[in-house]
Amino acid sequence: MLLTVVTPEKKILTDVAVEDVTLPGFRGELNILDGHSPLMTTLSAGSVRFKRKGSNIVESVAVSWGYCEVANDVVNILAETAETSQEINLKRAEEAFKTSEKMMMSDVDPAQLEKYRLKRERALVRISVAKMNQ
Amino acid sequence: MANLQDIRRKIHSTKKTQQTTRAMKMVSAAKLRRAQERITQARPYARKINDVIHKLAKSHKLEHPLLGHPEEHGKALVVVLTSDRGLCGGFNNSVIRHAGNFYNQNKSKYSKIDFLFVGRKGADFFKRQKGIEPVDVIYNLVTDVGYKLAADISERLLQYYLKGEYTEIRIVYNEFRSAISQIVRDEVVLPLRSKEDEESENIDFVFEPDAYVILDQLLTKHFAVQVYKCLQESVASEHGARMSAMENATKNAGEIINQMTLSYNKIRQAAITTELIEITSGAESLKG
Repeated sequence: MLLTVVTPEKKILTDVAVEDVTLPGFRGELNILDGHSPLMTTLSAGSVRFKRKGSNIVESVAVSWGYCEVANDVVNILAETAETSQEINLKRAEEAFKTSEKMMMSDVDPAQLEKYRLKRERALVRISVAKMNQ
Repeated sequence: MANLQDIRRKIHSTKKTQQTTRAMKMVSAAKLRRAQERITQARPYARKINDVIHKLAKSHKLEHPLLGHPEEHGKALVVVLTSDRGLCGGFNNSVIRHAGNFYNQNKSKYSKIDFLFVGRKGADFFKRQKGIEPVDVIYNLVTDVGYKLAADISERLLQYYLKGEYTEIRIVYNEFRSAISQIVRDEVVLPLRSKEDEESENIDFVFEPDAYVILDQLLTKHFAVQVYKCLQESVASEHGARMSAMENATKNAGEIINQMTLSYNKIRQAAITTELIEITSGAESLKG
């Protein structure tokens, strides 16, 4: 099975042979193995985890909004942003988490609240991905 | 005839100018390389999104407010991509000229034509020459050209379009061909055209949540990517145009320096010769 992850700013992975892929799908996490039926789904903020062929190490990529297409044992992921655990700045993510948490506690108007909720979510994903490979 | 002091001063100042233009050329060359890389890196994403939209539109007869043909006598918004700074050859001029022509030729075809500028140069020109106030001006494109900026701009344009303030949105920008050639392009970006071309295989997909929602989100992203592409092209063109303009300036400065050095030496020679003649003739007359 081949996995490709691209963002508008760069290619993260191109046609990498993988054993399996776990995605944060629209209806929740989903695991994709060889022979999966054709599927198109949007991705929520979360981590995409995969094992390279013949390897037991789980690698992960943090994505924000994205979209995924599965067909003929090819998985294409288009993400707004995607970062590998090496690229994530853990300190910054933790700071973002703290500030968004604080902003949500203070009274902000509802339109802003949604923004901070999303920000908090993204920060959480980044933190979990960064910590996983430590 | 100019005196020696003056010429020397002029040579000196031209040399200084040449240093500046040479430095600007180097900087632009470096920035150009980075901008080009970004263009190539954005391509796979754009291509993939295009693929998927085609597949979707094919397997499902989908209607969407963003798809369709521009209506006649509509309200147009022209987005003009220029630079904040000058010294970049014909870069701004050609885009501005095109936008101006478009305005003059199509005034009667639309019920309204408005402009939105990216970069100060275009906005200044239109305000000064035609007295047209832009809807808005976006600055600092070159220093901050991430996908984020493109997404913000595209979000704004989408809002304009969906609220019905404009029925057609165009982008006028310089497409990057090479460092010496940039081509002005004028594209209708909204409504998006639904292309019907080559047969792609028809796979029966399972959609989550459903085809319409996916199409809706993809079209939004597709639009953002298109805007991103135009911005990137424009930035690369600006650096390219500036690089070649500065290259020419450096060459011209070199020529001027050569000419002035030549006449400087001639005058110096002439002065020495006259002095020698004076001395020898003075010595002659003393002898006699």
